[in-house]
Formats: sequence, structure tokens, C-alpha cells
Amino acid sequence: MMPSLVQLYRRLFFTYPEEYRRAREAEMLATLLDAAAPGQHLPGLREAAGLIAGGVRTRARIGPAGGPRAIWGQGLRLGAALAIASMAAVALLPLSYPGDLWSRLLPLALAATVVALLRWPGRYGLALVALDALAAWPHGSAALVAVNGFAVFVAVHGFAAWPQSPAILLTSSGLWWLVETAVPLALAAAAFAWHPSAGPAGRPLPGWVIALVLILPVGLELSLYRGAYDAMEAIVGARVPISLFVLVLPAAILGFLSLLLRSPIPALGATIYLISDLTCALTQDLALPPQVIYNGPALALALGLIVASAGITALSRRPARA
Amino acid sequence: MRKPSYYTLAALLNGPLHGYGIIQRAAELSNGHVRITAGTLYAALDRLSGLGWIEAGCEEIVDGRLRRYYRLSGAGREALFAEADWPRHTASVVRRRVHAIGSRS
Repeated sequence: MMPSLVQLYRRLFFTYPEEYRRAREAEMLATLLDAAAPGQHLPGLREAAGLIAGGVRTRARIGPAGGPRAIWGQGLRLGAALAIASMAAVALLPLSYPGDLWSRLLPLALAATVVALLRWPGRYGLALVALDALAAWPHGSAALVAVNGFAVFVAVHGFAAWPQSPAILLTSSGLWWLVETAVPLALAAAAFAWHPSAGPAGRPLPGWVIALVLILPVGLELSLYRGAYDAMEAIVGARVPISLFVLVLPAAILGFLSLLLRSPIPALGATIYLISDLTCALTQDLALPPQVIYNGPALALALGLIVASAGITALSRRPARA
Repeated sequence: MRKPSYYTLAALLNGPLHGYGIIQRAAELSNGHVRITAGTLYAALDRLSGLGWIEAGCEEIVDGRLRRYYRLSGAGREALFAEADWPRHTASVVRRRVHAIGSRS
């Protein structure tokens, strides 16, 4: 049976935040039905496009309205999720090689963690991190897996072919692994801790932000598109580390989103993600001196990205025109 | 000021109106050139309420449909008049320049 015009309009209202729908849906529906032609069964294209655009704008407007605490809370959560998704991308790389069932399930468990972290902060997120740690058990040492979420990241690197012994943590390469796992985990912990019991910061991020967060780093890491590397190396004039390449597109898209939606949250998330990733990369350079990844131009580009993201965060707080 | 906001304020000059009433009045005032969709209208109403230029008033149910009426505030009236005067001001800037160039040549 064909859905009625009322049902179709109600579906389009899902582009609006839930609390906004509760307050305005009946009134907006009345306006839409008053404006509908007699016998009209389908929403007009202009009306449908107007509702979708209105929903996106309302989400963007309501998001940062909770004040600095809400903005930092959501930005931190987005940055933490990007950092974790980036780690998941590293774990996904060997999927093209033959592996056992655990190896194939781990990235899925990580993806579930990222979704949970964004969608249900402070509730099911922690439980899923614990489940991930259990799923990772066969790959890590018992001592490390016992430390809950920390074990997820350790297991990822165990999976990516590093020796599975706690003794490795005492070596210089162990320092890098510790920092690389501790930084995103600290971000995730801060994002959990920041979560207040009520208010705009507690509102889950919309589904399209979650999809973006998952697709960008994972897609880029897996694509390994040679032409794009060559282009960037030509611009920078030096060898560009893969990790930096993975940073540029998410930062650019999130910065663009911030300006488009006049919301500082995406750019703030990008800034936090960039700082986290650069910290990890520089630690790797310090811990493993023969393989310096971040040469001068690459480091300058990474720092420039951070400054640009921070600048966009400040710029996008400008009030909208009437 | 964006066009939907301008015509929403202009529609409310003669008294409070509900959502569909604003859409109809805006179309009349613009000779059919401005056709505000519901999504655009409510985004404009939210912005204008936030600025204190309009206020939500009484509600009524007509044929089972909820109607909420909006009215123009004093600040909204001033903002609308200032916006309406703006084209005259910008035009005068060019006219003065054209006049000055004409008198020199």
C-alpha cells in the first residue's frame, strides 16, 4: 500500500533533530498539508528539498548552541572517533591477505566501537570496548588485554605483525606502540569523561557524521591511490608519508563542512585528530631513528594543517545572517 | 538579510499570521516571485525568533491541524524598515558619484 502524504512528510522530518521534531512537527505538518494541492499524494520536489536542507541547517544550528562545553564535548568525541577509525584502517590493511576468523572480525569490532563511541557515549560505548578487548584476546598478551580498551589497540598492532610479547614494550619500538595506542585511547577516555548527563553535548552525532568518520580514514588507508601520492609529493617537493596523506582529505572535508554548516565541531574534531596523529608519527620517528618519516616539508605541511583546522574552528563560530 | 526572512517580516506587518498564512502573504507581496517552502520558512522563523524580531503567539486547532501564530516585535519592525531603506541608500551612493562625474565633465 502506498504511504500517505502525511507519512511521507513524517519520513522527511527525520532530517531534523529529535527534540526539534517533538516541538515543531505538528505545526510544520499542518503548514505542509495546508500548502498541498487537493488530491496531492507525493511531496513536491521543492518542498522535499526544503525540508532536507532545513533539517541539516537545524542540526548544524542546534549543535553548537549548547555553549563551549557542548562544542568541546562533541569535537573531542569526533576527534577521538577519527583517531580510532584511523587505527581500524591500519588493522583493515592485511585483510587482503589470508588470515584466520579472528583477524577478520577485529576490524569489525573496532568499527562497532567507533559507532558506539559516537552514538551512545558513556552508555554502551564502554561495554563494546570491553567486548573488543575480549575479541582481541588471541592476539595480545594476557597482561595487556586485561587493560580493557588499551588492549584493542595493542591487539590491532599485534594483528599487523609485531611480536606478541610484553617485553617488546621495554624497547624503543615499544615506546612508539605505547604512545600510538595511548593517545587515541586517552582521547576516547576524555570524550567519555566529558559526556554530561544531559544537555546538547549528550546528543548523539547524526548518522552521516558517523559514516564520514568511518569512511574517510578507512577508505583512504585502503585505497593507496598512487596518483594522489605522486601529486602531493610534487606539491610538497619531498617524500610524503602515508600517514600524512591520510590526514589531508579528512581535515579538508571536515573544515569545509564547518564553514558550510557554520559549526566549529567538525573542524575542532579534525584539529584534535591531526594533533593525535602527528604526535604518534613523531614518536615513531623518535623511537625508530633509522626510519624518519616526517621530513622538514612534511612536518611543515602537518603543522600547517593543524593551524588551518584551528583557524576554521574559530572562523566557523560567526553568527549566521538573518 | 535573506529574502525569506525579509518577506516573512513583511508578511507580518499587518498582523499575526500562521505558517501557511506567511507563505501565502509572501507570495502575494512578491507577485508570486517568492515561494517559500515550509523547510525554509521554519528555518527563517527560528532565526528571526532567536534575534527577537518575531514572537510566537497563540495556537489553535483547525480541522485537526495545529496552527501557531507569529507576530512582529518592535525590534523586528525596525530591522525591516532599515532593510527596506538600504537599497535607497546604496542607490544614492552611486547617484552622487554619477552626479559628481557629470558636473566635472
